[in-house]
Amino acid sequence: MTNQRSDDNNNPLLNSGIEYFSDEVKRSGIMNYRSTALPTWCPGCGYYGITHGLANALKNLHVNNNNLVIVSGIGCAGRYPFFVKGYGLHGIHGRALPIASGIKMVRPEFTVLAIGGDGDGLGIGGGHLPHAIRRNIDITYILFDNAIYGLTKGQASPTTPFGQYTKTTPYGNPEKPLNPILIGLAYGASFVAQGFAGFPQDLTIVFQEAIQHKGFSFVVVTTPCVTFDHANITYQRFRNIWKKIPEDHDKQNLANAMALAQDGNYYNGILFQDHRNAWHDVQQSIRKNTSITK
Amino acid sequence: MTQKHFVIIGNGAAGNRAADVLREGDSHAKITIISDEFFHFYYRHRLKDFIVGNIDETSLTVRSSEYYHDKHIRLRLGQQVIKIDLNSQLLYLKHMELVRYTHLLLCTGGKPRMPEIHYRYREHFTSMITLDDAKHMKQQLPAVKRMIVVGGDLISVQITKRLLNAGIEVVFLVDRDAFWPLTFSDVIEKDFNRALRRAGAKIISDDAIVNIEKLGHMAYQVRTRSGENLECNLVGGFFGLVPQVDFLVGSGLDIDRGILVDEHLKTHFDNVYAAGDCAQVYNPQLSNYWVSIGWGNAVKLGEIAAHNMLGSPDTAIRPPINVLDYEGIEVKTEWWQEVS
Amino acid sequence: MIQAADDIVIKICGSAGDGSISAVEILNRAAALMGYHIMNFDAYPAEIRGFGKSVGHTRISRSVLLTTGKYTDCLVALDDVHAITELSTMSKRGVLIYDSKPPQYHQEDQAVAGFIEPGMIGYGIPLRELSTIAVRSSRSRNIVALGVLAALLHLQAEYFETAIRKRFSAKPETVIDNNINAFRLGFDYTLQNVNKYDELDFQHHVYSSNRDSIIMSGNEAAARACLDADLRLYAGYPITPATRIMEILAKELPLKGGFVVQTEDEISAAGHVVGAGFAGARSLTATSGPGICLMSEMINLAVMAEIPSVFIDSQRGGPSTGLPTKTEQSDFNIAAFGGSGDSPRPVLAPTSVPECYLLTRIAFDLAECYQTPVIILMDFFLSNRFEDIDLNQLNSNVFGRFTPQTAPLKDQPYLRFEVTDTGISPRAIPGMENMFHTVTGLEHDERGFPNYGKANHLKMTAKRHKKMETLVRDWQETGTFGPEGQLDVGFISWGSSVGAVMEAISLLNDQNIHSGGFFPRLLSPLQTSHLEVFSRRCKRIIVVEMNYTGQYANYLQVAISKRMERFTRVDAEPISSEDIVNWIIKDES
Repeated sequence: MTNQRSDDNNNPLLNSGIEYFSDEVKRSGIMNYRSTALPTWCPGCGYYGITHGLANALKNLHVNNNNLVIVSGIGCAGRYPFFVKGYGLHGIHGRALPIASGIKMVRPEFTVLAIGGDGDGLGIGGGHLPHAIRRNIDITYILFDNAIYGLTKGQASPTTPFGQYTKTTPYGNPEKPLNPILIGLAYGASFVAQGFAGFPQDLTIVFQEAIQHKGFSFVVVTTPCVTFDHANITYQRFRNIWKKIPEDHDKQNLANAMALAQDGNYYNGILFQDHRNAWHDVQQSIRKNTSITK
Repeated sequence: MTQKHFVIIGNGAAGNRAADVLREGDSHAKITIISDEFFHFYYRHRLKDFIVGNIDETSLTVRSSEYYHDKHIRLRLGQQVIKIDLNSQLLYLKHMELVRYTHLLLCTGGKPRMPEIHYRYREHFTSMITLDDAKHMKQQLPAVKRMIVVGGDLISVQITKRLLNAGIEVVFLVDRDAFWPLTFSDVIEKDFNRALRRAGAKIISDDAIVNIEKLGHMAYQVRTRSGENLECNLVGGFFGLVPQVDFLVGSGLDIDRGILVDEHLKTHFDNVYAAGDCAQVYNPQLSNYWVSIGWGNAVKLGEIAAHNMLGSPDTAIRPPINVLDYEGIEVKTEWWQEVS
Repeated sequence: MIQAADDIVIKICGSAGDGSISAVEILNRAAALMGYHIMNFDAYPAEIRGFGKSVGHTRISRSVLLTTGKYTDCLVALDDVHAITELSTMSKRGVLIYDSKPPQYHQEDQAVAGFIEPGMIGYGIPLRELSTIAVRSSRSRNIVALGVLAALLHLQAEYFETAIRKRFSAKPETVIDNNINAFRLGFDYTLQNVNKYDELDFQHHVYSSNRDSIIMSGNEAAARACLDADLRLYAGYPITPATRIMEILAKELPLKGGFVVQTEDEISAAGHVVGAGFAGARSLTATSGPGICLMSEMINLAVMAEIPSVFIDSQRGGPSTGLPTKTEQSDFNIAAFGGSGDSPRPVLAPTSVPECYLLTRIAFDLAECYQTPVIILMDFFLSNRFEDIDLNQLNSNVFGRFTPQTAPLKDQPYLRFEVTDTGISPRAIPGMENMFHTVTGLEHDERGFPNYGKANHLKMTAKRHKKMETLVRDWQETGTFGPEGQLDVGFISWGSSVGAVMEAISLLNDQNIHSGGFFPRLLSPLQTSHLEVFSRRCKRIIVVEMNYTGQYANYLQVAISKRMERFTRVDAEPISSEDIVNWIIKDES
């Protein structure tokens, strides 16, 4: 079960999770970026790997917890802020990006991460992605893509493959899935990367780059839902199909990045990055009453 | 077939009666009354009581706008027809609008007559034909101590009496040429003078104005042939009425003293009629035209014209010659002679 | 109603592009310079501009104005065909100024002068011709018309010249000269040629003006309040009639260190506002009915997660896209109750342009003090009407002082939603040292952790409502208006309808119908005790509002036992005092 919730105010999961970590983990320093609350995800959920990778990245970057804000939407991924030592806003379905953007706009010194699942970010909230990208606001958006609605217990999502059987597609999914990476590239994001929940070390590197990137960073993490998806994204199937990005890939070449996004393979790492002005840079010139176009 | 459009120029007794008859006879036709006055159809003969405050403005009104709304009669008030194109059946209004008619009735009434001898200083005369004139005069009266009245038409006598009652000193300069539509006889003069004198007016006869000079605001000096210089606040000029037909000159209509119409009140244009004070009506028995003025006459002619416009022939009968119905008052005309 | 000779409603009507609106702007400015009060509410066509008519509508008076006036005393026709459609609004003493020399004859029934109703007075002025003399085109006939108005209504010309100079200050000197020349030609022509029949008369009076006044619309007042309240982020999506607020802030806010973002939709706008509010910065969005529908879920979140945020809803005719350019007060229900669950939040309703300023300012204080979204209900009429405002008015505060409570830094755990007597929890914001917390739209415990326990839900629901009770206690403005003591008729009204009701009250008192009013600026939560006191004084209670069902009356009726009557209108026009008075008099006699 994904989110078995207790009606009891003294829910032990919310309080004493820290006891469960090994000494090695505690010593590593990543616990500085974990709250005392223990995640409520199903055992084996890919999100644990992502959490580990992200905590590591925050640690490596020495991010100031006081200035760390995590914004999430609704869904299994939506619970993420509760497990981070920092400030969090668990908002409403599909709206992590506008809220995160609002926070960053008024507090540019903050490290703002927006977290959401594939239903949250590509379904209900799909309309916000192109505009956050357009603004190139300096936040990092991590899309947890498990191609399923987990919290509502197993319905088709915008990335569920054509023909897959779910509770709302009992005859097979009649719709073609979206390709989030291709969308991010096509919308013109200044940073597009992907990774797999099964490779937390690789994720750490991607996350570090994404957080450090000045501008909107779009990171798609493919992650297994061990409870509701036994056919599509599984550790067994995916561990072997990931590829390294070709050595000669030029990160600034959008056409090449789009070609990689469409060749049927999964590439681990940064597909595209450029260094245009971020939203606040442009605003700075507006304040100086100078032309914002160079 | 285009909709019938009866257009009546003039919002007096003739025009309003005609509109009523036209509406009774044709409930679908468009009916329009055009008048260059800003006011509703009013009792003209009550103006003299209005200026001295005997009655208020509402008592002047014959009909208000509701009546016309109910009857679907379009009232165009304060609008002046400056030109008529009888061939195209188009009226040119002064405010630059074209109105197309299928039938036209002219009831434009009269305007103040101004004898040629007085032309030189005509702007110094105050006259009183319309409500507008009356309002203007009423506004001025409180500041008037002395007024010189020149003329001899019936209204001049009526006004003089009321001015005297209102405590204004009136000097009445009897002008034999000013009498209209009837000429003055010695007998009348005697009666006339006696009546005025009894009322308290100072009368100057056998003299005539040679000049009027404006000395200042509401201050005039009238010089007479005998060398008298009379000062006053207002000079009233009352020389009778003439048909208001200026705007028709050159339209193709026959104009003499008024608009010449046959006994059916039709001009020589098939769909154009005239009635009331402005009409000069042919009498087949006399083989001559007659002009008649006054309220009752206007109502009668308006009705006859409307009948003819609706297609039911009706003939105008000349009124009895010995009674003049002047502004609602019947005056025996035994001691008056008709103008030739 | 007998209006004073120096209380005049003027409309300038033309095609879009004829300059009706800018002429009225100059007229307003000149009148304000002479110390007159003005209230201006232009009519916009629902059609695309360029084809439609555009009507500048202003009322000028020596007395303080509460409405723009139902009937037009003076109509200037810059376009005949459009002006004809305005004639139905003419007052009994109405004056029409029209072009006596158009380039060619009008076709039948297309000349406005042809429709002069008995009792009205028409003045034909060669507007085009005079304009052509001044600027070699008919373009300036709006300015010529101003000259005509000044001469006819007995207003002093030099103030118009100042106003013209100011209006065209960005233009070259020749443009200014040409326009002043056009004004002069209209003025002199009228003096020399027009025989004044009408009774409209300002008597050349100039009221010695120590007043530090400016002319402002409701939208401008709201925008100015945002700037003065140190707004940090405006996020919005263009929507009539609120857009002007965004346009002003887009220009001004960056210069004051804030930001403006035009979002992809109203959901995103509300999201940005809530995000910035969470981060401790003052933020606001302004929208209208359709937008507030989309924002409802985000407002709910702000209620649940107790995030300060301010929302202006400038109402227009509804439902759905409704009547975008017409005024209505039919969003009370969604403002007070929109969204799921028990979702209390303060709803404010300014009744005038100065109050658009004052209540927008105070809304930020309320939002921070009670940690809540605050909704300000303006409407098309308030947003777009201009009033002369005494700048001293803007410094007043009759509503109360609302100071936010900040949590002292202390050891963990910080209880973001600590239950207190007032319902208000001391607030920490991101960036503070070690006051870590996550807020959520889920029901939560005092720390902010999700919690679905029934006892907890009851406790936290009560806490959120408790804040509203505290607000009602803290709110000082009583909303009562008019004479004290027993009333024959007690009016309750809100928002932009209040002006007309105030005017009606004074007219009724003149006729010995003892009347007064209760006009809450805090619509919700309800000031129950003030309402009770008021209702006990009234023989009849009439709730006046611009919606069909009487939304506010419905809300009030549950609080008191006395039956309320409803005076409701949805005829797309502001309610007029005449309508109210006629309704009462018909009933009372």
